[in-house]
Amino acid sequence: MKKIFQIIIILTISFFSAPSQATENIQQVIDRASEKCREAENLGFEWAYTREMIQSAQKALDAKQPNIAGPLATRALNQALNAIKQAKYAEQHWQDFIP
Amino acid sequence: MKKLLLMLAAVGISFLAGCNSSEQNNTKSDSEKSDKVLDVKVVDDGSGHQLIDFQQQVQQDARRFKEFYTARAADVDAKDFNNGVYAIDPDSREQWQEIEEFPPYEFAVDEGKQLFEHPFPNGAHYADCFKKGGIGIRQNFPYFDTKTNRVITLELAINDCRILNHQLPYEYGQGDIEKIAAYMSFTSKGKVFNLSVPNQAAYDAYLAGKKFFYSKRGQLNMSCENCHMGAFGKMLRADMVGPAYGHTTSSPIYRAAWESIGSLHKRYMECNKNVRAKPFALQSEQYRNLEYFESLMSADLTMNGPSSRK
Repeated sequence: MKKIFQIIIILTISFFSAPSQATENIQQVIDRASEKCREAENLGFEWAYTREMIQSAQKALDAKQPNIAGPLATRALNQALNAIKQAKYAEQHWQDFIP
Repeated sequence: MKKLLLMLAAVGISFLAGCNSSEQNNTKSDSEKSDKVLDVKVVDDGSGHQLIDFQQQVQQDARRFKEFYTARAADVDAKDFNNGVYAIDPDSREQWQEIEEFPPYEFAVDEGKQLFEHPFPNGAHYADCFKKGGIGIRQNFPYFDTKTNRVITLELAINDCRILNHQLPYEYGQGDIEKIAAYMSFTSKGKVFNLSVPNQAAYDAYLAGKKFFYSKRGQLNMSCENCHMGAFGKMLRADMVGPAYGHTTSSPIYRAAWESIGSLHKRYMECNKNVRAKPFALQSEQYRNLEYFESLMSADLTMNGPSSRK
């Protein structure tokens, strides 16, 4: 009986802690996307809608909608990383496009 | 059998030689590419010091730039490139010429004249800030100011004049500042660009503009070059893409899409947004350098601003 009680307690804790773990993970992605977006901006290669996407993700997360916030944050992070990649490529190859 | 072996050997050698020569060709084309950027002309200043001839450097680039367009549109008079896409598309030209019979920018020029002649509260005029009273001088912009080490565009000079006379600067891009710029450009119609690259800092600004022009940016991964060189003369949706050669001669422009007169930098912002890149601020260093580069590439063309565009 004691064991069953313990299991119930563990399951209850894990049930309630699961969303907060997800929230924490999404927040980490948003923070990283923000950081990378700033890096892209400093390089002069920020994309048009990355910042908006980060703001929307944060808004959704604050409204406890992780299913919306998660994909948005991931897309924003991908955009920011691609913008940095683009900047580095341009730095090395811009002369190649001179006809 | 011996003959067959000899033939195989000959084929093998010629194959390897072919590979080698194609490698050499690649190397040559790479070195040609780097020549376009790094080939530095050195001149003697008379006292034994070796100086880089920036002006010649840029002129060489401009020659190549012009050659690209004149080769692609061999039937177009090179002087006509200051009319943008209307130089190469007869249908659009016909429509444009009809519009130009009653120019939509005429009111802006008139209002610009009034604003230009209106004195500041301290009694000074815009004319006092510019050489030749600000009349017929558009061809000297943008220039590189060796004191502040920055590219000065006409709009920047107008606002500098206002600040000098204790007035708030205008907002860039449209409105009164572009009306004044339109009037000043109007008085300079037919004059050829008179630009220079006076020193290393100016050359750096020019190179920054050049780098901007050829660098792909935004989610669509496109550069100015992609549209205005690569797709020049081709259709993008319903519109033909105009040449970059002559881009800066007609500013400020009256765009049908804006229903008002606006600056070249406003157009730069739009282009950046179109490729889903975050645009820079109007009159930012990036856009001023880009204007400097584009103007130097069009330096043998005449001023025809203000002008109407689609």
